[in-house]
Amino acid sequence: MTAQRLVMAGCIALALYLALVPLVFLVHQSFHATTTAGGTGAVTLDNYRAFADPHAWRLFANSIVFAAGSALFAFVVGTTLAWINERSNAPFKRTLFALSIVPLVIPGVLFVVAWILLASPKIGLVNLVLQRMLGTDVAFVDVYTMGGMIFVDGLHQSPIAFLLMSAAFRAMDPALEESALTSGARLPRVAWQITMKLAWPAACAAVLLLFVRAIESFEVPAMLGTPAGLEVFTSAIYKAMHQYPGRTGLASAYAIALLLLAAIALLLQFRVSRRTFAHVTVTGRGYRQRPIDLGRWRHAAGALAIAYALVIVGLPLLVLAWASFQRFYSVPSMQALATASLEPYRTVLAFPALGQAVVNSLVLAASCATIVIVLAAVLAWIAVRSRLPGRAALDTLVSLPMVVPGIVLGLAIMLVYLQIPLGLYGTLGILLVAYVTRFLPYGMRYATASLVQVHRELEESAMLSGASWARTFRRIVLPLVAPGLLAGWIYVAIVSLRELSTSILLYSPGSEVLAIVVWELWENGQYTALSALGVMYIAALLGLTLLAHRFSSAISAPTAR
Amino acid sequence: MLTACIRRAAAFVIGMLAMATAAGQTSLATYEGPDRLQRLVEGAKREGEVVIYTSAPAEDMKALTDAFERRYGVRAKVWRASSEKVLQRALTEARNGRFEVDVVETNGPELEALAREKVLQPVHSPLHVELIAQALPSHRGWVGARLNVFVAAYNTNLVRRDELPRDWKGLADARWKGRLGIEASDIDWFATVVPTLGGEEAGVALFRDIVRTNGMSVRRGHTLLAQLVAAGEVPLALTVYNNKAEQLKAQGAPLDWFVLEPGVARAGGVGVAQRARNPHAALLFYEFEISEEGQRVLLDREYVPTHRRVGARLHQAPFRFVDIRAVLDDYAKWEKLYDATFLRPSR
Repeated sequence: MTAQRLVMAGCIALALYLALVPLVFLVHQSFHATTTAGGTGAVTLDNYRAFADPHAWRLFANSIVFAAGSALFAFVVGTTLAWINERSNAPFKRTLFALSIVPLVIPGVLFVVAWILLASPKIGLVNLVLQRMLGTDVAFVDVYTMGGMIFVDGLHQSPIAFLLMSAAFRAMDPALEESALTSGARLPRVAWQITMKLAWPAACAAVLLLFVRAIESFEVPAMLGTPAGLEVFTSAIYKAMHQYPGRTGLASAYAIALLLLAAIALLLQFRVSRRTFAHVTVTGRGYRQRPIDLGRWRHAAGALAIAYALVIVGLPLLVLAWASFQRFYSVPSMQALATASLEPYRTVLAFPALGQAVVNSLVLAASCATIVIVLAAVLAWIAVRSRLPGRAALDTLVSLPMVVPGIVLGLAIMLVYLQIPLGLYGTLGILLVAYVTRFLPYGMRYATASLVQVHRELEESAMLSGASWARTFRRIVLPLVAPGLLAGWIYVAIVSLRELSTSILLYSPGSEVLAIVVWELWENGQYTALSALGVMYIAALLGLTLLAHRFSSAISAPTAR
Repeated sequence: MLTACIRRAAAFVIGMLAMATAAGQTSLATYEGPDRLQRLVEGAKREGEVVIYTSAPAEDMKALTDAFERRYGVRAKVWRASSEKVLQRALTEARNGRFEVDVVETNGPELEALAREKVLQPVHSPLHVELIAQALPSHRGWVGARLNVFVAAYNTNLVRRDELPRDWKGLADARWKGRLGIEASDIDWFATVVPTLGGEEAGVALFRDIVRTNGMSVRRGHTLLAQLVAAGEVPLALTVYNNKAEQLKAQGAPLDWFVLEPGVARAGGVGVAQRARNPHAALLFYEFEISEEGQRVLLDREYVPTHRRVGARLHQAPFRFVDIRAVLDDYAKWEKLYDATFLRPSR
């Protein structure tokens, strides 16, 4: 019992500390006049007056439409693929798993530029090809619209849903689906009424994560929204932070509006996941993982997956690969083919401090993902299983930093470690703290979503048979939620590799990371070199993913034996 | 009681030491005797390294620091970020009593802000006489080492040379419908151009007219804008940095540039931190960047140097300089005008 208390108390303390740093900072700043450099002046409500401006509300409305659209689109795409991949006997499944997470790996800025080259009304390849085929000059697709923003952002984020839903589908006893099928229900009905209902906690978590992340995102709105006159809320935060004298207080007041929105969503989701028994799919009864036979739809599903891979992943990848052999970005043509070169790859490999950055990034990604997942597993157990008072508040509180915009989080963490002499400032350690703060909420959602699928009876029997809490946790709980935790680990590791907005303020000479190199190439307009880096990124990560997938298949689906 | 005494005594000693160091630096920074350089070199060699916060592209900075290290054997440690982040980090560290940075190397407005906040210290260097007047703010809290020149860039496949407008009014011609682009935050450029077009009101009205007739594709980031001109997405962009345009042109991109008068130039440069840990090395780097040798390195990287001799050919163009101090004072007003003109023309 003491071990349990100790571990739980330690994890709660750590998580609360991490979460409270940015939250206290935000609240404090938002009620103070900002002097320069995040210093605070008199107590004031002035920062909140910004909400009297109808323009702020228009931006807020744009943000909500964009985030909701992007979340739903990403959810549908990711879930469909996850279902085909985990629950059906469609062909090419292993390839599909790897391809599905490629969009996550491509640096955001590059993904957007690739889609400008594909779907701009002026130079978009898709438009050019269709126009030539049909002999018209109508622009068929336009990426500079709300729809375009939702499409591009949704695609880029669909792996969040894919990973979460895959884990949920995998930890599912097929018996229920099979009984429905044998009772004569049609496949779509089974998928919707049985499979989806069982995966409801994961689905809620996925939509929530996607929504909150889109609300906080900046790349797609900045690059596609600005030319169309579509500004979002984060651009107001960005502006307030980048003024001189800086207006951290105003940015914080804006961020608090986002926090409130997220808090409501989180509490709703918490209520869903508390209704544990409704979604339990892993119980004491043994079952064998068996995919559903799609019959004649098998090839249709395979075709859908291939179409996705070709259009959604293949096209931007092709643009990327094409650009990586060019000296400057251009629409593919015979003329441009003649000037192909390996120069971009040479530029990347000769980049100052590249080796150091790769090592730092890998170390950070692996340690951040591991810390996050371990913490999240314990915290999720507390939130879902324990009777600890205030567990809903705990769950919400540690999840809130998810909506703190990266540029604000960076400043908060910087200020704290300038004042607390732990020796973290200027080291790789401060980046680790920032990453864990930023990505713990994501880990939490992955862990909670898988835990609510596991029946309490399994733990209870272990405890009854005399196992300690620590042993039960290690031998029963962890293996049962392993697919979800692994998916979470992959996600956190990949996004850690990509994290820029916080890293850029916190890194120091010697603690450069890969994302800084990406930013650097982007800032200097070396897009072709950046594309080359992107191609190398993807190759490396595809390799890693395939390995991880093989590994996760090897530890197999969780069956209660 | 005893501990309190000891603490007070320690505080006194630390205070005296700090004053002594500060005094030492001030005298060095403003010392103009004949052995100035020699004293700097000797001191810098003892210190061994210099920490630079910069927003210059890594490769450009590397060219400069490589030359510096070769000449003086003093190691340069570089931290790179956008100019706003450079300002934010230097200021936040200084406010919280952390003195990591020796030299700040970035755009003029951010350097001016750091000088106002007393993060940078005034420097008097015998090399200043070699620079153009606009590179030297009267308080000497920083010095302009290079100019960012705003030019108009066009895609040579989509825009013919002979159809280029002669002046800003020409952009209101309907032939430019759907073909114009601009960067999202060129407030200082706007504040410099507008008053020259028959006064503030008339100037803003002209740009509103252009946007009403032809639209304006607003993009975030100067490099993105330049690249999109090369790719044909933006046929004519109004605010591209000349060195980016030159680089793309040299790589063979279908892009060329021209100046709609008045061309606008903004100084960027270097300043020495008030509480530099390596004060000699910091001053030495400052001197090196504005020396003829440092300025030639910048010239090779397609910058416009502020050194009279090195940049002579480029200084002949009729540029109007951004009045950095005025822009910093009226920033909110100009930002509002800019947004209302380009980002939200309907409002």
